[in-house]
Amino acid sequence: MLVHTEKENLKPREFRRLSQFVYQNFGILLPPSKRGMAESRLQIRLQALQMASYREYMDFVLSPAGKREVFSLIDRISTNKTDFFREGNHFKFLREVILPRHEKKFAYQELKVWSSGASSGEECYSIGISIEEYIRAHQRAINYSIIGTDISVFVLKQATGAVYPLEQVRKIPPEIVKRYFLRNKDAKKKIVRVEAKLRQKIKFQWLNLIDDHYNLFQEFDVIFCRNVLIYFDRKTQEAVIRKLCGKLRSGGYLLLGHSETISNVDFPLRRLGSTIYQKE
Amino acid sequence: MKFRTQLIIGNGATLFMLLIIGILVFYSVKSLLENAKWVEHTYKVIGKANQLLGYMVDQETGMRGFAVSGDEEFLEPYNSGKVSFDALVKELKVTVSDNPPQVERLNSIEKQAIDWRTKIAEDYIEIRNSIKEGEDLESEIHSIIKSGIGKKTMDEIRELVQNSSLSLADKNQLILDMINMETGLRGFLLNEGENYLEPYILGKSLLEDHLDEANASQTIRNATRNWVNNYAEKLIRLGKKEAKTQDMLDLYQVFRKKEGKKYMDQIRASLAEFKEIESNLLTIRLKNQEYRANLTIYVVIFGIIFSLLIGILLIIYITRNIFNTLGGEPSDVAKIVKQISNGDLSIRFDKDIVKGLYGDMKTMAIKLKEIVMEISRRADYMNVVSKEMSISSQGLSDGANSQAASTEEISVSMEEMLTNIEQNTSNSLETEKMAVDTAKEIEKGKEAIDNTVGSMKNIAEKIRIISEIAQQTNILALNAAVEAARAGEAGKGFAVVAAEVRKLAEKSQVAAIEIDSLSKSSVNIAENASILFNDLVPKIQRTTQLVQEINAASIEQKSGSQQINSAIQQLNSVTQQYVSGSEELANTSKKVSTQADSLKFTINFFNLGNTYENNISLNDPSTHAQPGLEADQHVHGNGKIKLESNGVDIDLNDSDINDADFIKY
Repeated sequence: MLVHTEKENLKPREFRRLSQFVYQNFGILLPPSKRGMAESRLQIRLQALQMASYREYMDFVLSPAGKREVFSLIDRISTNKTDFFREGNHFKFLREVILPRHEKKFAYQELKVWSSGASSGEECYSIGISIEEYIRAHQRAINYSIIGTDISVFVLKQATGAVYPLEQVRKIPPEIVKRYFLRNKDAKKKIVRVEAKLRQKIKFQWLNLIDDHYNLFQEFDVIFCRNVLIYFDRKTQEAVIRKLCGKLRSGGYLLLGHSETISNVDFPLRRLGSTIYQKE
Repeated sequence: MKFRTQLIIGNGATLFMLLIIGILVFYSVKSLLENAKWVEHTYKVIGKANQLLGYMVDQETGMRGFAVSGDEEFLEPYNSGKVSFDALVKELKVTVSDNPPQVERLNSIEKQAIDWRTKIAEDYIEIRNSIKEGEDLESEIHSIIKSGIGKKTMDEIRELVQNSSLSLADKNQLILDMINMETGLRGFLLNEGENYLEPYILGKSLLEDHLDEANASQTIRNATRNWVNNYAEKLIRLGKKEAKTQDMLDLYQVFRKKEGKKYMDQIRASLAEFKEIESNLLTIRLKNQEYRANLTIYVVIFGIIFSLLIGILLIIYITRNIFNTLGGEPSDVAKIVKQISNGDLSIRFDKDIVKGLYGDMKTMAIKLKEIVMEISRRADYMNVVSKEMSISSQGLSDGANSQAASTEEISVSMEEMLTNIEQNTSNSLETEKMAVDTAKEIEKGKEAIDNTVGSMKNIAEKIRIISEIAQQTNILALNAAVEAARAGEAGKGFAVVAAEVRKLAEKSQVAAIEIDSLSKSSVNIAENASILFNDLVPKIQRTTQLVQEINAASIEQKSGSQQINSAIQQLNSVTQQYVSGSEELANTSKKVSTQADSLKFTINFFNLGNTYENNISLNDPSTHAQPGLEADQHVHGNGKIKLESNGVDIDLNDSDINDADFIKY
């Protein structure tokens, strides 16, 4: 049936319900200026659920029956921008500072890395590749594990699948691509997959950073928390940083996104460089 | 005139006066001292001249004493006087060496003295010594005589001669000779004249002859010889010597000449002259001294009076000046200065004094107080500003965050848009194809509609027949019902059938009517559709065109979105700068705050008293809206739901991706 549909707009009232919900449950800030964005992002959900109005959708989401839809909502509302070796200075720091120091100090201990906004996994695999390359270059045996967490199930599935468009690995040097990626038999599909050995090193887990307690039973040597805090307000940012510090071993490193800073509040963190902090 | 200059001139003037007085007094005293020295010198010279005379007198006295007594002891003053005189003259010559005529005088005195000594004194002494020698010889002679050795020997000889065997004449001759000799010796010794010795000499030669003549024994010979040699000859030798010496008469004769007195008088006169000249000098010097002393006194008196006068005038002038400058008691001013230097600005000033240092201090304290208050206020303001800066930096940082978030979101949106555009492109291509197909099918559709219209019309015809049949059936059913009623009980079942048939007929009738109207409307619709289909063709053509346009637009959109993507990259770097800027700002604000605090601390040195209340009426930063928190103004509900991953079944591995589909490079 071909019907011309003129969807109802996301009305300010509904947007307020949405932003309040999202803020309280995920800490993500949706100021009034983001109404348009929210509208367009959720449109797909409305279509999928064959709902005519955002009001209907919000009613559903907030009802007990809509509990599962919350994950889809956050899939849509969360922004999952990532890339292989994005903000390269951190990977450089990992190779040149963190790994040599770790090797020197805790030679045989496992290096535990947490990517707290793993998105579709590129960051985790970039970390893995960096460590592997270090091991290769220095002929060392470094034991390591990487855990990637995110609020979006959708991206976590992508991360677990580790399948990426060929386009996305174009920026990685070909020899590294050859070393750590598998190409699809069907060349037309133009997709690659991270090879199994590296995949096994990396686990993904759903985690909401604004939860009071993180379901992670270890302290990490390195925490990547890049371009996550930008979606939070200052209060939430500080609370999250405090919790991240709790999960960081003393002397461990916290790496933030290019626009994120820690100022004013006295965290047990020492600034080593732009967006690089070390726990005291 | 500068205060320093005033003080220097004031003090300098008095000091200068004092200096002048001092110099004058110094020179006066110096000249007085010199004068005194000269006076003393003169006294000394006179004294020495007197002493010189004394030494001269000593010499004279000594010389006289010796001359009178012949005792060597008396020569002592003479000798010592001589030495002292010579030394003193030499010394005095040195002393008066500044005065050549006096030296000349001394030279002549010295010469006179030496002359006196050589010509008079030495002469006297020589004479007296000679006298003394004579006396000595006389006493020796006396002692020899007194010893009686001569008499004894003479007696022995006499006895020897008497007892000898010599003739009496011989004996007498010999004794006579001996007596002659003794008489001659005695005469000589008494008269000290050689001519008295003649009997002795004669006797002696006669004795020798008479001894030989008498052939006197050896014993007598020896005895006489002994007497002659050991007594007489010895006395004669001494007597002869004594005769050569002078006696006191000679001395008196020399005395009587009074030559010594002449010399002495001359010396006395010379010395007197010498002293006279010196005492004349003394008079002049004393007069000079008195004059100098008087001058000194005048200089001191008038100088001091003058200095006092100038000093007093200057003191009055300077004091007045100081008081004008200070404006109050120096101790008060000093106290105020000390208080201010201790940072105490809560000073109570005398309201009446407005001039001078005191007044200026008052103004200064007031101004200082104002400034300090101002600085304090500014420091507070700086603190506020730094807080604002800190907030701004937070704002910047928040802005950067939200910008970064927006950028990410745009980026994602762009990705989605690109996917959409691609989707659109493929969709529109498909649409185009479909449109063409549709156009073709529409032709077929039109034919079908025409056929349908014909068919419909046929159906309507047929339906009318059905309708007639239904009518007739109805009538038949009615008839049958009537017949059935007539048949009674037997027709009951038939009646039911008839009724049913009638119902069916009615229904058929209704259906026929409906079909008729439907077919009529269908025909209408079909005819309309035909018309629509005719219209549709250009519309589809238009659609195809539009779709092509959409396609072109999509391509443009794609390139546009790529541009946007690169712009986003730039935006990211800008954001980064933004963030570092905000970090710097935060840092600066912290520094400013620290500075302000230290400024406050520094300024707290000043005590402003309780008149000053720190009432800063600036905007309290705590009331400032925090830009970062604006957004969450509307989220204060309690709508948090319990949502945990294990609360909802999440299987991240439910995909159907298989490694078998992938191969190594």
